Amino acid sequence: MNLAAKHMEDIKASENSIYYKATGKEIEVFEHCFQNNLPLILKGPTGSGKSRFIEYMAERLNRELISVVCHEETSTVDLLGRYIVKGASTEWIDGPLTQAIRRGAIIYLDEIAEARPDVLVAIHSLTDHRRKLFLDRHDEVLDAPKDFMLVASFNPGYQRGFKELKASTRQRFIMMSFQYPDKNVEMEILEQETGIDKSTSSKLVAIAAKIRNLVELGLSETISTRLLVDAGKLIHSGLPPRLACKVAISEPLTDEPDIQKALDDIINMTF
Amino acid sequence: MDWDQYIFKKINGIVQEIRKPKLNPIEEENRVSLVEIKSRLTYLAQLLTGSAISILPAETTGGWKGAQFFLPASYGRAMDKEGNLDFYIYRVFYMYGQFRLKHFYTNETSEKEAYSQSVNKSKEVLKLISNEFPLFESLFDSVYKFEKAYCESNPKSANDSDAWLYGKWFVFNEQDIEDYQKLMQPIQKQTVAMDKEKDEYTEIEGKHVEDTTVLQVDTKAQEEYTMTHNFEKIETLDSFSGRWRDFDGSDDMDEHEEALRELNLDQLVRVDSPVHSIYRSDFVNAMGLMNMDNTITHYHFSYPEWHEANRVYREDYCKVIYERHNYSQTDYVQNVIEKNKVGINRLTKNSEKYLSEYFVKKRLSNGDEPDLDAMVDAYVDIRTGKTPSENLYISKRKKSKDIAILVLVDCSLSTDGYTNNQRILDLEKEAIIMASEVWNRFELKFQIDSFSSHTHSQCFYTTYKGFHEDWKLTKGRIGDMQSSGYTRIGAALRHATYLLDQVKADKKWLLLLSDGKPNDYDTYEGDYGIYDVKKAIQEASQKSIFTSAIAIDANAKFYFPKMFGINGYTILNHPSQLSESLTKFYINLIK
Repeated sequence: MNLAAKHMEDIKASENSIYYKATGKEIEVFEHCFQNNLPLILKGPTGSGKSRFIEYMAERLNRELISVVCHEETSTVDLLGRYIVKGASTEWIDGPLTQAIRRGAIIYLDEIAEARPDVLVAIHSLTDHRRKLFLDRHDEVLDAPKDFMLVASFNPGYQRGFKELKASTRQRFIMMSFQYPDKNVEMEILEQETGIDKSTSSKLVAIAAKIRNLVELGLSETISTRLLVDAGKLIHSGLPPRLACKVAISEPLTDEPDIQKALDDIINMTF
Repeated sequence: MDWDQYIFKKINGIVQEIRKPKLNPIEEENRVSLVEIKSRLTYLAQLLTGSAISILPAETTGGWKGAQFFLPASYGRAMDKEGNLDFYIYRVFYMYGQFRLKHFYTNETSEKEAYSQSVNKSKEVLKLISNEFPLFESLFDSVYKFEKAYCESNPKSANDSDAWLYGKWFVFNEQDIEDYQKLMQPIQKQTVAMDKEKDEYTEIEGKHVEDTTVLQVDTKAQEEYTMTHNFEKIETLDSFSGRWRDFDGSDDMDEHEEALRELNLDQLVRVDSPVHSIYRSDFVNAMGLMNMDNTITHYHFSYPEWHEANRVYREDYCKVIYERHNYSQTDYVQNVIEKNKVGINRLTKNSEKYLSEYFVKKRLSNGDEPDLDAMVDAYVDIRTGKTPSENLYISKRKKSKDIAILVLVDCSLSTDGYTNNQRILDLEKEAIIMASEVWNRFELKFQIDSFSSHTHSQCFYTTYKGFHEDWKLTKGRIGDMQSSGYTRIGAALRHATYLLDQVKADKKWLLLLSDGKPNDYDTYEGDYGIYDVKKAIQEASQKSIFTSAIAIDANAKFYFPKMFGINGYTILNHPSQLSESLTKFYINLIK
C-alpha cells in the first residue's frame, strides 16, 4: 500500500465536521483520483452539492482547499501570479494555483468554463503526465507534489454554446456528473441540514419532484437541493411553510407571474 | 350588406338576446374566464402531470382527454372571484387524478353514461389526490359547498353540480391512448394570417372542438368540377361533406363573424388553397400523418425526417429546393435604414462597448497606448539582467472573432399576419437589416436565409446573403423577402447545417427566427414536428454547430423549451424587440 493510500485509510477513520451525504460512488472516485494524481471535473446543475463535496473531500483527505471562482475576466495571471511594483522594485506574488502547488493543497476552480481560454492553456501541463506548472514570468518551473490535486467544476446547462469546454480540454480530466439526489437521500439531507421533521422534508421533496424534469416550464435552472435546504431552514426557524416556500422556491426560480402562481398552487396544496 | 341581410341580422340579434339566460350581475362581476388564467393553469397541469398538457375550453363542463384538459370557458357560480378561481384550480387537480388513474372509455358511450361514470369513480380520484396533496380535501370541500349552494338557489341547475365538479369521461381512440402513453402534446391547428390592410383584424378566435373527423376530398369530383359561384361561403362550408366546391374569396370577416361562430366543426377537410382571413380553432385528434407524395422535377437536396413515434428516420423524405435570391428592393432597405438610423447607432454603440473591451490586442510592437503589464515585465527583465521585450503597446483594433452566424428566417404565411398594426414579416426584415448593419461594421461572417414549405416534397430554402457576399451589395435583397407556405423547420435546419458545415470558422451558430410551431400541410405538426426539430438540432450539434432560436410568439414558451432546451432560445414579448435581441445575441458571442 503506498503512502497516499495509507494516509487515506487513516483519515477515513476520523469523522468529518462538514456534512455531506453521498449519492453514488463519488467519494470512491475522488479518492482514487487523488491517489493516482488525476485531475477531476465535477459537472452538474447549480445547488447539486459540487462545492460542498469538494469541501468534504478536502477535510476527509486532510488537505488544504484553495477555491477560485472563475469568471469571464479570470486570466492566467490571476491564477499563476504576478509581479507588483513595490517602491522602486518589483515583487512576485504567487497566484492561488501556484500557492496550491507549493503547499500541496487541493485547488478548486469553480465554473472553469467561464474563465478566459488562456487559463485552460496554462493548466494543460498540470493535467497530463508532466504535472508541471510553467511560470514563464517568474522563470520558474514547479513540479506538483503528490498531495496536490486539481479539481474543477462547471454547469453544462449554463450558457450552452456560449461558454463550453473544448473537447481537447475535457479529455484531460476525469469527469463526474452531479445530479439532484433521490427522494430518500434528499429528505435525509434536508433533515440533517435544517432540522426539519420527516413530514416536512417529504413535502418539500415532493414539491421538488413536480418542478424537476419539466422542461416545458422553461426555467433556466430547476429547483436545487440548496433551495430546498433554504426553505427547510426558514420553516425550521418558524416562518410559515407557504411563505417560506414562496420566498425560497417560487420567487428565486422565476420572474414569470403565471409560473410563480402555478408553483404557489402546488405549494398551497402541500402545506 | 343588403337591406334584407341587415334586417335578418338585427332580428337574429334580438332573438339571441332574448334567448340568452338572464345573468346575475354579482355573478358576472365575479366570473372568471378561462382565457385570463389559461397560462397559469397550463403550468399547473404540466407541473402536476410532468408532461406537455394543454388547457382548452370545453363545449360544456369538460374533462380529460389525452394530453388536453378541457375546462369550462368561464365559471361564476361561487360567491366571489377567489372561489371561482379555486374551482379551476380544483378541476385541474381533479383531472390530474383522472390522468393518473387512466379514467377513460375505449368504446363509444352515451353522454349521460360519460357523466355518471365520472361521478361513480370520483371518490377514487379524490382519495388519490388527497393522499398526495394533504390540503386538497379542504379545497374540494369549499368548491363542493359553493357548487351545491348555487344549485339549491338555482332550480334550473339543480342536477348539474356533479357535471361541474367531476366533468365527464372521454372516449379514447387508439391514437389518444398512444398519445397518452407517450405524454404527447396535442395537435393544434395552424395559425395563418393573410394579407390585409393595417388596422383591420384578420383572425378571430373560434369555438373549440373536442372531437373532429377529417373528411377526404373527392379529387375526381374536384377535377370534374364545373365552375360555380357560391354567394354564401358559410353555408358552403357548413354543408360540406366531401364534395368539392371552390370557396369565394370575399374577405369581410367582421360581417361574417357571428355566422362563423355557428359553424359546426365536427367534420373537417384539409385544403391547401391560400386563405384571406382566419377563423382559428384548436382541435385535436383525427389528424393522422398524411403522405403527400408529390413528385417534383426541380433540382433538390434530399434530407431525412425523424419519425418520433416509430423512432426511425424517413430517409430522403424531405426535398429542399434551394435558390439564391438575386432580386433587390434597394429603396425598401434604404428607407428602413433611414427610418431606424437612431436605433442602428444605439445598437452599434452597445456592441462597441463590448468590442472595445474584448478586442484589445496587447503586447504589440506599436499601438495606441502603453501596455502597463508589458512595461512591468520589461522593467523586471531589465532589473534581472534579461533582454526586455519590445512589445510594449496596446492596440484597440476592432478585430472580429472568427464566428459564422447563419440567420434562418421563417417566411411562412403566418409572418404575413399583423401584430400591433405591423406586419410580422416587415418587423423581421427590419430587425435583420438593422442587425446586419451592425454586424457588417464589425466584419462578422454572416449569412441570411429564409425557408417555407409546402409538404415534405417542396421545402423552399433561399439564400439572400451568403457568407462571402458583401452586405452592401446584397442588402437590397432582404426587401424582397416574401411570405409563403408553411413552417417545416426540420428540413430547413438540416439544409442550414449542411451549408454551415462548408464554412470555415472557429465557432458556427445557426440562429432561427420563427413566429410559430413546426407546421406543414401534410400534418407536420404537434410532437411529430417538435421531435423532428429536436433531432435536427442534435444533428447540427454533432457537427459542432450551435443552435439558438428567437421566437416572435408569446405561446412559444409552451413548446420552444422542448425543441431548443434550457437557455437555447429567446422569446420576445413584442416583435419590436427583435433587432435588440439579435444584437444581444451577437454581444453574447463576443463576450
